[in-house]
Amino acid sequence: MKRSTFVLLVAFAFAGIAASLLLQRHGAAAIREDQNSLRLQQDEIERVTAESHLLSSGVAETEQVANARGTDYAAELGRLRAEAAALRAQEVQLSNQQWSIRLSAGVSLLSVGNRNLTEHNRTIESTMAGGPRPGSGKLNDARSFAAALRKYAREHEGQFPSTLDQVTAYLPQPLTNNAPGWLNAPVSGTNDFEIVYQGSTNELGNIPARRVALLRERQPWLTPDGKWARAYGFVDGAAEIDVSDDNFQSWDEVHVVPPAANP
Amino acid sequence: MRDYVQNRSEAAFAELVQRHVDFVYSAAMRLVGNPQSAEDVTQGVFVCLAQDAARVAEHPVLSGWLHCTARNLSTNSIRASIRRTAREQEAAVMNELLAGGSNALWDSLAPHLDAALGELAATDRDALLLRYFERKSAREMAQILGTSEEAAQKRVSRAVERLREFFSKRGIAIGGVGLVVAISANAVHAAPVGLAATISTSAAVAGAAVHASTAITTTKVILMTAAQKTLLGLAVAAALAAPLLTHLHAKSRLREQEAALSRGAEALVRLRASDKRSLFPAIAADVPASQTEQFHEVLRLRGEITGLQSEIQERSNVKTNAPLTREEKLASLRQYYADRVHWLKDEFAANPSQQVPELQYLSEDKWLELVEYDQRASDTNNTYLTNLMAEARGSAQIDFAMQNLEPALQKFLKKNHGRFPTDISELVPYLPAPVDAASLQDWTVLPMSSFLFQTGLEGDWAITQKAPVNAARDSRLIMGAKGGHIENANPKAWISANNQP
Repeated sequence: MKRSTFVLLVAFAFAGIAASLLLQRHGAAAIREDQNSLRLQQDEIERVTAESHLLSSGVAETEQVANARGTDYAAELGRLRAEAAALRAQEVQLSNQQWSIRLSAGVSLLSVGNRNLTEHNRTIESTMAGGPRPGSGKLNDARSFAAALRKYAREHEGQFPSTLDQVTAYLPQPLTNNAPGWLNAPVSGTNDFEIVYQGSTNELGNIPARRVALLRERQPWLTPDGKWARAYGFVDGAAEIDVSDDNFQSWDEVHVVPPAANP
Repeated sequence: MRDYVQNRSEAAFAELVQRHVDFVYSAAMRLVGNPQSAEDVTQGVFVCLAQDAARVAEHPVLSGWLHCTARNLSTNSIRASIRRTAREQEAAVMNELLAGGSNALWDSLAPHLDAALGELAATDRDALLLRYFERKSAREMAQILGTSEEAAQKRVSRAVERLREFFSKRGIAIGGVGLVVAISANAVHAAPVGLAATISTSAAVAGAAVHASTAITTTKVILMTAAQKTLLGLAVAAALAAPLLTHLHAKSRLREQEAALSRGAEALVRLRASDKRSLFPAIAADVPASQTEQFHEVLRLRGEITGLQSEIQERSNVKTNAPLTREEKLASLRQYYADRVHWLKDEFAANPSQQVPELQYLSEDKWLELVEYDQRASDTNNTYLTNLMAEARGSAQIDFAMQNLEPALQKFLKKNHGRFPTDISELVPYLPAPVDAASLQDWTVLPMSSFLFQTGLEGDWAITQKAPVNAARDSRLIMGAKGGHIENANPKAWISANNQP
């Protein structure tokens, strides 16, 4: 064999090996990619397998718990039913007792208040809705405001307003020369009154409207004979000026309904 | 490792294999699940080590690299049987978890241990492997990891906690201590005898082949005999064909594995769907409905009892002298005035002579008006009660007259062309509604001239009460053809001009 032929043969051999190695390397790269893809799938399968195990374990556990507790529930149920029934009865009884006690206390307070009212309070001037127009400015204001509040309530399904500003449109207009004597005169504009009944006429069933104060003067004032006096308007539209020597405590006890507590 | 990389020392490589073969074999065993495949994988790992020795030497923790490689190679091994394995594993884990026992626990951990290790951070995994798989002390770990003993120990603790969480998510509840015990006892098994030697030889040869191939010189070829040349030709042909054949074979195997894997994945997806669809309904069917209802009722009753107990406690704590609420005040007012009405009615019942039949027609609102003011406290001589009864009689009679007699009178007058009735009984057909006869008999028709007071009414006749109960207190109603008049508490009101009392 010639030297050149041998060299050529060796060159061919090297070229073949190199080409083969290149092909193998290329193939290995492709296989690696495939492996990566397969590895991802493998991970997903492992995840699903684990989830399946979890579900199966959950199933077994639930079955075990359900079977084990079945009998216990029956026994516990009996005990709980009896306990709940006893507590319900106790709660109702306690509630009734408490209501009864509070009601008795309230009635007792009203009785005492009425007795004190006779002793410590006196009405010095009064007027009824639709009666002769009062001469006193304060009495007139009380009656006019009461009339406006009642009118407002009639137009709002019995609900009284929470502020006097809401009844501006319902206040009496200036009187004409030939105005009837019962017509309410405009209020003096001093704004010395405050609403004391917050709520609806619907809540006052079986309670005399004449005995529930609707509004009152903010501050009592001294009469010429040195007594404290205050003008009130009532749910029935009447108004009166009362004097008191117990700071109107018994008067308010009998006539004032407190507003609802804030929730 | 450095000795092997720098000097290609077979002894150094053999020492490496000897030191790590148990660990690699154990990891492979856990992953592939049978000794034959585990041996194949172990061999593959060390072949890779030999080939990539220079790069691997830079890795601070060899066991981390070995584990990662073992895991990758093992993946190939398990693909073909993944579907069958998954089902078998599920059954085995279920049974053994329920049965309990340390072997069952380890068997439930083992299939996931390497996936769990794979999810750990590299630093944590290295620490864990050093501590429990290579059984290094804290000091040795610190030296290898190049950190303090405390930091190394912390990495181990963190890795254990992560592993515990990993298993917990897969429904395998195990504490940190239990996990460590299980891993320490089972993580590393002895590899089969002789495996290390086999690997050392084959891997070293494989590694050497790569490096030595460049050392063949042309001189040696030139000096070859003809036979040698023939051999060289065959070797060249083989060198050309072998990689091609290997490549083709690998591709074919890969396709098979891929197909098996796809089938496994589909089967598992079906399994997952069936778990959710059928297993839970199966439970529902197995557990009697009554038990479920009982369970819910127990929960409801417990809640109700707790609520009732706090409500009772709350009620017990309410002060009885607290100011009345709005509702209590309104209820008290109703009760107070109702009591007052009852009191007045009781007084009438106790004094029948004070009654008039018309009281039965008095509305509740009118009764309430009557008792608005309570003056009993100052009523020392019964004046208040006497006046109140007179007022009640007056209200009742006026209401009766205005609601019954007055409309009947107007109808009678219209019907009789303005003629006034001569007797009250003539009004009966004209009453709006039937009335009590006794009430009607309380009334009479009198000439207007018989009254000793001014009525201001037109006409010659009037309807009025026959007689008072209390002449000093009772009001008298005079009802003419065109209006009425009330004479209040006037002693003359009940004296008739023709019939002096």
